[in-house]
Amino acid sequence: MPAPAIEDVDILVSGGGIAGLIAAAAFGAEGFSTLCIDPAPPVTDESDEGADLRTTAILAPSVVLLQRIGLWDRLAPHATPLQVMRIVDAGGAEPRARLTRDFDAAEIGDQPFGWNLPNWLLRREIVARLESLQSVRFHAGIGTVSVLTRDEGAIVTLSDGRRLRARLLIGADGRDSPVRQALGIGARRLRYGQKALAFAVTHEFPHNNVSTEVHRSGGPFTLVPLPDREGRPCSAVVWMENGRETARLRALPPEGFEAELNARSAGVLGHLRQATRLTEWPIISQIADRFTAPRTALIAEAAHVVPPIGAQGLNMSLADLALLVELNRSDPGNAAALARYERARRPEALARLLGIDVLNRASQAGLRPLRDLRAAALGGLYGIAPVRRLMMRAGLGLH
Amino acid sequence: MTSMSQTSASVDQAEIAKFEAMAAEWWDPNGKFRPLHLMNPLRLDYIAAQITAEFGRDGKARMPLAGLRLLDIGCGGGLVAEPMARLGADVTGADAAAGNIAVARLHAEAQGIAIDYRATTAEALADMGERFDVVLALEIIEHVSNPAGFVATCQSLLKPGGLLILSTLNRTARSFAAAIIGAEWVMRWLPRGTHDWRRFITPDELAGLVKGAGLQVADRRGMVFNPLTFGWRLSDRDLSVNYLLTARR
Repeated sequence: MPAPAIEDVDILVSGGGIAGLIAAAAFGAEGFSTLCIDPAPPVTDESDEGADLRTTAILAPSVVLLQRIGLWDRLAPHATPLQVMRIVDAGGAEPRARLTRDFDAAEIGDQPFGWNLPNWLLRREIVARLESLQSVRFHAGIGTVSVLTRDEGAIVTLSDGRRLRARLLIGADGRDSPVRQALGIGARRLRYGQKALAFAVTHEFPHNNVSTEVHRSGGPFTLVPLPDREGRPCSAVVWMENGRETARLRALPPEGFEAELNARSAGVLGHLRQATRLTEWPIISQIADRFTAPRTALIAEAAHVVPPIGAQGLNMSLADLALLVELNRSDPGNAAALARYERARRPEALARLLGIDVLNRASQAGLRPLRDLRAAALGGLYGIAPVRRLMMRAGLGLH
Repeated sequence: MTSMSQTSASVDQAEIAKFEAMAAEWWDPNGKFRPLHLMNPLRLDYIAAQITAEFGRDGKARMPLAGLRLLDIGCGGGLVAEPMARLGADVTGADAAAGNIAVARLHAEAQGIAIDYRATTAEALADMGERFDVVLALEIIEHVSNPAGFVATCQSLLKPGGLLILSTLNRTARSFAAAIIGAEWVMRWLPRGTHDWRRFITPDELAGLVKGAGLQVADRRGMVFNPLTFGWRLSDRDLSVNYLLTARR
């Protein structure tokens, strides 16, 4: 009984989120035959239902990778530089800024920390880049049904019945990664009971390319600079709160929500006005027990999930990808390359996850004495210039 | 034909007699074949996954192996042949020890499973021109006198595109400790002398034999025993004691 034919590809990317699309572009740019699949088509317009209204700060080291694969030139015109990261503690009796500390990229180099881009726009530009690469195919509406990893290649059955054998299977299919689950790789998850509200606002004062994190309780409230919208200064908001509070906020009438929004921002950019609908994301930390299996590498949220603090999430993912490309350039999926990837990336991801976990729990603090302690720690650490510069360089992933 | 099988490369008369003596014990999960009973679920999972992936079958279907002709060489009491038949495969079980075949036949009949059991050798089947989609040679190559000839015979039993799955023991200090000292001397799971450590084959040696016979190595995987839980698991790194190898014609 003849078996249905198996199609051979060099690289199969499961997951067409930002990390998966960039992975496809990166390996495609190296000339490898690459197929990227995702059960859902990418939403590439801000006004579409389901558009990802979060923004991503592409930090300086990630820009190097994007330049290499011919993506940065497309993205740069839409990007807003992040020159200063401002941390504000508003944990006093009144929700007012009581301690403000600026981390200025000029202290550690001549470049901004990074460039901020809306996620839906990132998707649009990467998909456009994929269309110009002969070696890459992107098939939306297709998922993985089963995975068997062999030494000779990963055999993947797709939901349209096709079977593929890939020299390297990249699981970039998110926090509930079907590839990770098919391989029986577990993950440790930390829950915070938090959710994040993501939306855009226009505001009274210009942001001057400053990203501002306001800490009071429940989690950070972050304003990230965006290009002006209808002639008004504009920022993206990520507002983390415990789940019950985000549900209450979402149920408020527009004027009620605007009042809460302005109370929480402590007035740092003047009056804020909501400019897009609200989207909500559960906040967790998670790390896969292993990042590799034979012929398989997990990247991005399939490998690690962190709360949206310090622009770490996607930049960790792009660091995964940069190393993966470097190690697999000559012979994709070889066992030695995957072993090196595992040894290099998992400890790094775990260390970052634990650091971000501490920051998030500090920001969640509801009790006044803890909030006072947090402000004292921020003020104290900031005051030591070498520590301050070390914090900035570590945040960027520089050594 | 008869003279061929008696002089065949892979059968060692002394080894056959050893297993015949143990035949009745095959289906006793706490008997002398306890290690095989413990290892069996993991081995079966691996084999079924390899076959369903290779032949594009839905592993969740009731009979995913339906229509596939499968040969189990050195089938013993039928510990693997029966589950393969339950998954729908058209199974032939071959064992050079007639006592094993008698035990296996009785058991399969009692279970109402149709399996073509034959007291014969791989060489005899190959000479008859039999061809299979899948050939299994589990825990057998370490008992044959000419491993290279045995693998070549397995190759000739495969249809083009067919799959050969072998399992055996590596030749390492750890395999000596586990299979000889542990299983035979200390635990007394196996009679002393069941295994001859010098006949064990390393994964690289086996891959070499497989390639030499014109087959393509598709996968190698270790089977690791946990003495605390008495459980087995697959490992892509630790092939130091028990391991499996899958090859394609």
